[in-house]
Amino acid sequence: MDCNNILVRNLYKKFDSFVLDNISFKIPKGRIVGFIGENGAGKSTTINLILNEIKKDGGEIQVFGTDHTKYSVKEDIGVVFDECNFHDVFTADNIEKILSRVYKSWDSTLYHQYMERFKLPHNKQLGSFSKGMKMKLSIICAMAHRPKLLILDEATTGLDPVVRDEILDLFLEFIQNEEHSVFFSSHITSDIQKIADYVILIHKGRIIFEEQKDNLIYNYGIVKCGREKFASIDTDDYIAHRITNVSTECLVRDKEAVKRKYKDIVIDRATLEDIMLFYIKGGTA
Amino acid sequence: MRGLIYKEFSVFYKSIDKKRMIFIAGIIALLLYKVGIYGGLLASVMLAMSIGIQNIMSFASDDNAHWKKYQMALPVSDFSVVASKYIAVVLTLGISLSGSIIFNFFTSIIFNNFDFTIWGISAFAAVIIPLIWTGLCLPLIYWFGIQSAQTLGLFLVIPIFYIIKYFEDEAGFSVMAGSISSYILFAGTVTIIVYVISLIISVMGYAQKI
Repeated sequence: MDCNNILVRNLYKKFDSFVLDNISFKIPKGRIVGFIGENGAGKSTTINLILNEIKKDGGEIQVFGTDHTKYSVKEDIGVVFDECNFHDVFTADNIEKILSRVYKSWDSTLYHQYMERFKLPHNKQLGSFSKGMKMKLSIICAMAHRPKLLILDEATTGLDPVVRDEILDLFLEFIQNEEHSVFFSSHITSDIQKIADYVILIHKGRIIFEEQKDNLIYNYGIVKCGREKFASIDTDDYIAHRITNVSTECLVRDKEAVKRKYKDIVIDRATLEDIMLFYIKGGTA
Repeated sequence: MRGLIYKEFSVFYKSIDKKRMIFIAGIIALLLYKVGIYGGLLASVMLAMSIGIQNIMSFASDDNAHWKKYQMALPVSDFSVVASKYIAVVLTLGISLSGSIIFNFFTSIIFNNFDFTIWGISAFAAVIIPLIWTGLCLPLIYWFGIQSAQTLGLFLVIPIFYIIKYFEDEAGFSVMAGSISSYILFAGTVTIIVYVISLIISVMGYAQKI
């Protein structure tokens, strides 16, 4: 039995000014996978390819162990994009009537439970909803047909911390079922850091790393030292460096090993944002 | 597909612009009052045109909501997506047809002239105008975007006003009335063929992926 809900192998897509270059990764069952990268790195393109919204030029995409182009796989996928895609003239009740006739497994009771929980009005037009309310509704709609896989493309972008927190909690509840997975792209690395099990960094259409979040957070570190000290650090011991006005900083993969090797240097913990910035903007070793 | 048909019909109904409706109601009232026994017929044509335009306007609202992106992630086939729009248009014919019956009823009462040939032509116009209108515009939407359909919609107004003028001329109408059944049969067949071909072209347009 397949242990991945998504398997992407050597996925290739060429546009006039951008290439998604043979990327491979997997989304295991029971896991939340964060997908990070700067604007235009290829996050949305990858998601659109998985959802078969655009046509791939090469490679393989499997969803639930089967070809991603089959309509049936979409029954088990909940999707949330960066904006609410429902017409402003609709009410939440209208949306329920539409989607309950689209998804075979639509659960009206669950939908109404979520509506109560998030205190969303049933009969108000969506045009009068705030952005946070619209995103909550989009997420409720993505979950009310009891999918096995949630795909979220910048779903928390532009939301205030309180709403983001409520939504992240919902994803953590969703993942309690070990058959479920969440594939979550976001600019907000703190959200990914909070809930993801794995992190994939994409940069200029290439996967830079696919790592366990705990490995990134607990093992990676940032060495801060003067230029003379930096010159003594072996280039194999760091991934990338950047020179600031006051010091030189470098990202190391194993901070304990570096600490042992170089006795008198300061190593800070690296956040996901630090790691992403080092990979994207830092000068390479 | 039922969900999408409900969605299309709801968008049609909910996105009706009240100011435009008042304007159309004014023109229809004027036609009923001014044109004599053909007032019901011309009012039916006017309402059918408005329904054709309203269908295109409701399709445009999909663009504003970026609905297509969401719809492509739903477990529905390309054919179901497109067919739901065509079926929703057929459902709006109920409104057009009801309007036609009401307008002709009023005209017949006001002018004491129950000419069922006019009733028949009115009902026929109420059916074929929205079908032809959307049958021509929908493939354009799926292949070239909503703006191309809106432009075509403007051009479609011209032949329809020519038809109205034709009916206003009583001699023209009396000549036509003699062979009305063959006209209706021909126009009905053409409409069905256009609608079916339009559906096929639209499905091909929708299924296109970059």
